[in-house]
Amino acid sequence: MNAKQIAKTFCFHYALIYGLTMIVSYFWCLACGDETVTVEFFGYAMLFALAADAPIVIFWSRKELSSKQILIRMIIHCIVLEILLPTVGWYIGMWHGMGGFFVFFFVVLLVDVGVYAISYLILSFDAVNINSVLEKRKCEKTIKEDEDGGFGQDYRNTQS
Amino acid sequence: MRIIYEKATHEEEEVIIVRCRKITDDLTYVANTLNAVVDGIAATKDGEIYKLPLRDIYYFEVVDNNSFIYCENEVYESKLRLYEFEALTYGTHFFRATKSTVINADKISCVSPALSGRFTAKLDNGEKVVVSRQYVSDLKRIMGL
Repeated sequence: MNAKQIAKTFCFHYALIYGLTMIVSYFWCLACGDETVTVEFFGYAMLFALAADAPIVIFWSRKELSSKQILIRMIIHCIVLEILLPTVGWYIGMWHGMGGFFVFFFVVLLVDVGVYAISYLILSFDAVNINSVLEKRKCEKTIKEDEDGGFGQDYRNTQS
Repeated sequence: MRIIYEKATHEEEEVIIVRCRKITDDLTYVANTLNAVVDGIAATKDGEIYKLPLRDIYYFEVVDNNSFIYCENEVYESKLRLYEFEALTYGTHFFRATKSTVINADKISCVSPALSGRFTAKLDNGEKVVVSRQYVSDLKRIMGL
């Protein structure tokens, strides 16, 4: 991805992550009954969203990346997230103790893998649609070529 | 504008006639594109010059500032730059697939999803090329999706 694409993806993801963090926090407070959030939490959530989104710069490249290079960067991205997010999460009070750490760690891993899985699934649907169009076009092309040099209905004979 | 196909006999020469009141830039562009499509694009291989019809070109790639045209089994060198080839094939089934390649969508036999939002396109000759995330929409547009 080039700088422009990184910036665009960053802004979109930032809004998404921040929004989702606030929504999850809201329902967590509802579920926990007496739990409330302070005004500072809004700022903490922005910090958390920034920590979750910033590692996307790992994918920046001037040249087109090969599949192997992308895979390596995905692994590095995951590792950076697993270091950064629990650190920021602990700082803003999202988890406590070893149990909290492991839960947080696995949630981050689950979300990271989940995002890739959903993206791959959407692409798979697109691929199915594209392949069916390709198949149809190849059949139509074969039929058209067989019918009288490809003229079909769209010609008039110049010989009277 | 109507387009009329007339079937020629074996003795008659195949001709494309553009009947117009005035020769505009658009018509000149159409004529130049037709010329490229019908006559082909000049390319070299082993010191010899060839005219490659667009329908025989699988994809165009730039590597280290050198341009290459890939056909079914052969690779040719071209003097065209990527943007020039893109302009020449504008409106046809060629589309920009990555920063350095332009692919003929008519030569794609199937696509499969790859990492990071990309597609791997398998061509009719078995070769696999990448379609970058940012150009997937162009492929979908050509497919009419």
